[in-house]
Amino acid sequence: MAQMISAEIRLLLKDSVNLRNTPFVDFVGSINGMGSDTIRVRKAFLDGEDGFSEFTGATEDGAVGNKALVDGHVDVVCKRNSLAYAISDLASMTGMGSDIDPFRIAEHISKSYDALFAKLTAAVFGGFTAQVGSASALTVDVWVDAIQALEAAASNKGAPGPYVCVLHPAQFAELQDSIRNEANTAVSYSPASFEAISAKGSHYKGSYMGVEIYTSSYVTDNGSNYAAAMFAAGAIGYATGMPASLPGAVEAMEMGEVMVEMDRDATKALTKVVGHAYLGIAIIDDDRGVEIATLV
Amino acid sequence: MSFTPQPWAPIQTTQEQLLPERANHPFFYKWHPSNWTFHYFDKEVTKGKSTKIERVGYFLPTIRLERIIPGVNGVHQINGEQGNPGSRIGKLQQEGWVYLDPAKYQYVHQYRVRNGRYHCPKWQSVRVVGNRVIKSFDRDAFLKWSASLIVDGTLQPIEPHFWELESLKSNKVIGRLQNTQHIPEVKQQLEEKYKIREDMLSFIESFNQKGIEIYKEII
Repeated sequence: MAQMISAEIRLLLKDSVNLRNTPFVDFVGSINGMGSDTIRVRKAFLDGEDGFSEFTGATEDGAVGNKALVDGHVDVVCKRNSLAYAISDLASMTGMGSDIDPFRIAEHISKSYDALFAKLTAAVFGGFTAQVGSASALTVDVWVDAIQALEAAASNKGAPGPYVCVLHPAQFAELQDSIRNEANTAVSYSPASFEAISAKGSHYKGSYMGVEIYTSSYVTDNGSNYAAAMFAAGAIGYATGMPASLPGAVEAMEMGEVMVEMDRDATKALTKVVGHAYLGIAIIDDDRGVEIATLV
Repeated sequence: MSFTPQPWAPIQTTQEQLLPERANHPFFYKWHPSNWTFHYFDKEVTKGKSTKIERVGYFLPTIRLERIIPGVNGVHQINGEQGNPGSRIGKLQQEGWVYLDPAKYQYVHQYRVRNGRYHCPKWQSVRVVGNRVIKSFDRDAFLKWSASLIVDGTLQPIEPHFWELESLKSNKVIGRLQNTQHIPEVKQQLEEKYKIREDMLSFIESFNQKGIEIYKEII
């Protein structure tokens, strides 16, 4: 025997922790039965913003002018994302138990949705108008600038907390270094506990100054600067879609947000496992987020 | 029966050289009039008969990169991973951003990689050593390009108010460091911060006198 094969398959490192099941990213709707691949999110000042500022009558019986309602909208466009694997009968039949078989592959495709969500979330960060950082590493000073930018957002109205921050792992390392050098202990870093990591995922890193920190290798860069972000709930929203039925499909399964179907190519002894997910993500309220741009 | 042999020649195996990098999406640059960063450049200064190099600071526009990814920020899918950024660009322009058309400014370079293309700014050079991709970015050239966009009038409006806000930000750091200035390392940092703030204020003063001509010194 050339080698013994271990019964267990060790899983390689992955980075698929995302903010989908947190209050920091809003679900804005499903495109199913909506007549479009786009969800239009309506925005308006409807919660007591105006403060009776329109009454300018000089006398007691002066007429009050009509106030126009301030409104706007954001479009969240869904896109088809696909992933397909083909497994041969030989690979399937020589597998040990159900380690690598079409159903295990289907589960893998379904879990890949988390990585897709993390990737698309990171892709929107460069869209925030407000930006902090400089031609240097991420320091506590930049961190405080980001918090204060959110607190002063929309002409000092301020974005309501709590805030979350998604950093590139290299930026997080820089922040740790900067925190170590802080002489002031009034604001301390709370590392993620075992329980918190179990609940929030392996890339949850704790909180600093009340801001929850996640790291993601999907945070993009422009060759010179990373584009990470700190934001509040309501800043980012996503829309999804799921085919209701697949006429002609041999076997199809709804696995979370992914529709997985099997296809058989008998002449090649191959079983194909194909997953489709319809997802769109966008900045809903630009005032609730700030990009953290620090040197790569 | 006799056979005539053919001369042997090795089979041509020309393997295509691909950059060992993941495919990514094309991008465009954009700028918002509130986004500025303070950078230093070396400048030759002549006083009398002597010429020396001095570090001079300039507020430069922070030109930002946005990738065209279908499904992100309202970009529609055209074909596979190709997106149509038309509505996204319109939205950005409504919000005051300046769109820098890649077709006009020719700043996108692309390399063939497995399953697609790798897009990067033309200021980024890519080398492969031992199957590892080493990237370096010519920051100086990129910053000079951004300065040239001010001089040619592409980036407008130029509003010194945002520079004043940046200088106020540096005051916060100075205030925090002052508490521990008895530590020599902190004292040094403090002096550097004082210098940056002074340079920011002197740049604003110079700009108020010379206008955008000041940027011609660095391009």
